[in-house]
Amino acid sequence: MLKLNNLSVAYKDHQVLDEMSLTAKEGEIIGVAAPNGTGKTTMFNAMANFIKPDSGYIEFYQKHTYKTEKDEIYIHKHMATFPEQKDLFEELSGVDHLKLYANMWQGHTRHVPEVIQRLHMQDYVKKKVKTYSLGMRQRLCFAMMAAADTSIMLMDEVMNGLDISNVAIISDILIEMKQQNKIIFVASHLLENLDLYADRVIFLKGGKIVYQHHLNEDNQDHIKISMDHMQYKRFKENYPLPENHQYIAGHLLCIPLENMTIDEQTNWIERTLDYKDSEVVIGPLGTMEYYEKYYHDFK
Amino acid sequence: MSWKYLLFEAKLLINNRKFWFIAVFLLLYFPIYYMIYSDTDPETLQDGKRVEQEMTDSALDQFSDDILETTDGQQVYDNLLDQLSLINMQIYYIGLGNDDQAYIDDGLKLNELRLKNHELNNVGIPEHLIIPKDEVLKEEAFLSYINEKQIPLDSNEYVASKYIVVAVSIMSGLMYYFIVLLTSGDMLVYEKQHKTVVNGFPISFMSKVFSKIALYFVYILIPLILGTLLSIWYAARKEGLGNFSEPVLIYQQGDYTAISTSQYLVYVFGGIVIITLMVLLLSMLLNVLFNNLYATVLIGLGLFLIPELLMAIHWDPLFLRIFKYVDIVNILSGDLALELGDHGIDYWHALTWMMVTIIIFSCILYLINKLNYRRNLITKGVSYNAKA
Repeated sequence: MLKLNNLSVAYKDHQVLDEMSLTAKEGEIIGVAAPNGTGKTTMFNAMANFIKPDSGYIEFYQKHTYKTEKDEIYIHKHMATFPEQKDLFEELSGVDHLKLYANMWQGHTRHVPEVIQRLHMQDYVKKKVKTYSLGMRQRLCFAMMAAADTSIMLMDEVMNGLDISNVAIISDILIEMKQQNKIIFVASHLLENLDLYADRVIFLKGGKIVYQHHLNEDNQDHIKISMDHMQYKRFKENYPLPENHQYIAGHLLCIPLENMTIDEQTNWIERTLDYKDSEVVIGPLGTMEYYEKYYHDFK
Repeated sequence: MSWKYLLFEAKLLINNRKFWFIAVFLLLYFPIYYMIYSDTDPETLQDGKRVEQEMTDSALDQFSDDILETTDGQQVYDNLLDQLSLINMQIYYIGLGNDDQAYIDDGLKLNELRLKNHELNNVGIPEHLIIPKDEVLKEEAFLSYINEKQIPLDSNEYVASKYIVVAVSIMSGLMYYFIVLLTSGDMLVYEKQHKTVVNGFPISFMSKVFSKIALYFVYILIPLILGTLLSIWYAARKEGLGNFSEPVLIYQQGDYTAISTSQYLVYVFGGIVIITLMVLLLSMLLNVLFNNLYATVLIGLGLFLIPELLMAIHWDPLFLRIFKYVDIVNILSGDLALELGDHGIDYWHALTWMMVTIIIFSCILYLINKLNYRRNLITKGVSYNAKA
């Protein structure tokens, strides 16, 4: 278990993390959805003790904190952080990088060929990194995490520069990792992709977690229809909307179907049919909707 | 983990062109220097004796008549005459006479006479024509050793055994110090460019430090030793191996002692081992403090050169002396002891202090890391006891 207790980090006057608390349990993938500059990387850096928080502390299995270097090494033995592409060693090959991470965390490299095969890297992994494209580098960075195979993984911008097929492969591997009882943090701009494997997605704003979207629990169906402000106003005048409806980011009306009879649900669907140009979707609110809700006006 | 980390660092070294360049330089320095050296005309035993002959001749010519009338003056003059005769005979013995033993016997007599003149304050002999007492003692130690071990006198200065002594004396000091600094100047700094890859490694700072130092140590010494062996092989092929039991003079406990060339080389390489460790630790310390390759090299060079500058204004700060010990050949020859006027400075003295410095540097690195960790906790006010 990894616990963030009232973590605060400020750079001069700018409060990046503000008494943030969070608990992550084994077998859980926590997605982090937030625009740039909201403190995702700072949160990861504080979790790995690359930066010291101004207040608050990180707790590892209710026992270890970053109090001494010995504790730090103990935690780091169980935690790997996602490397940035620009920091890779250009003169070394992909295999060298994978062996490095495998050796440093597992003490052996027996599983490296499997990682290479799983990520379809056989064609280029023995070449020097300086010959890699962005996508190849990103795959290598993820493969390094897989080679480290730690129980806690902090992955910042894991899907950057990847094509659809590679996003799918990595998503599958993340699900497998979750099944191995790992705690995985994934920051990604591919919001809909997060819904595939994350157990919850946290939304950061003003240094705090403004919302935690539990994907396995918050599965209440909504009628989702796009409409502009004027249409929404008229619609609201014509049909009194339920109190818990949401109008997100000035373009998406979400009407919860919970506690409605079949007739009521049908009525609401019929009412939306007047908006022929808009697509009507029925389903739970996803990360994308919450993202729009919290960051619509974010600058 | 430290072992695996070391292997990874080794891979980085192998893939770095700078290190190849330095390794090739270290490997080829001794053989290339031999080529240059074999084109020069080093002073032979006979040349040295001819210079002594001229000096003694001049001393006799310039001897003042007034002093000659005194008892001491007469004795010094007679001594000089005997010395000239012995020198002439020595020149004959190492030339046409071909009699090493006679050369040595006369040499020992010559030294006795010179020492006797020193007892008489060399009255009447112009200052610049006096053979210094240290030189006399060196010569005595040299001849006694040859006499005792019955080693033939070899006038060929290009044989491997003689060349290698010259070559290490050129390498010793600033050149070697600079090479080690340049090699290791970024051993920690380069990690800045790869921080997200290496930052989270589960090994302690000190393990990292010692892994790197062990690696750089091996990396520097291997080409150096190979280069030395290569030059010995090359010189042996060209002019012969020579005799590694020939004497080399070293300064020990305020006196000059002759040791065999092989023992001398063991002393020099023993010193190089300690110097390498000390400079690597210094470099690591400067890396930690300044976080910059150029700063490390420049400050490191400054520490070496500052004592020279300070000595020019007759100030000899003891704590900076350690950087003068880096020139191990200078220590072995006793030149540093003479320069600083401290007869206690000899090989073992220098080695002991360098080992103490190694321990001090290691402790400073350990404390800096501890303090940094603690300072971060204090300044950032992390409340680890919040739970309690």
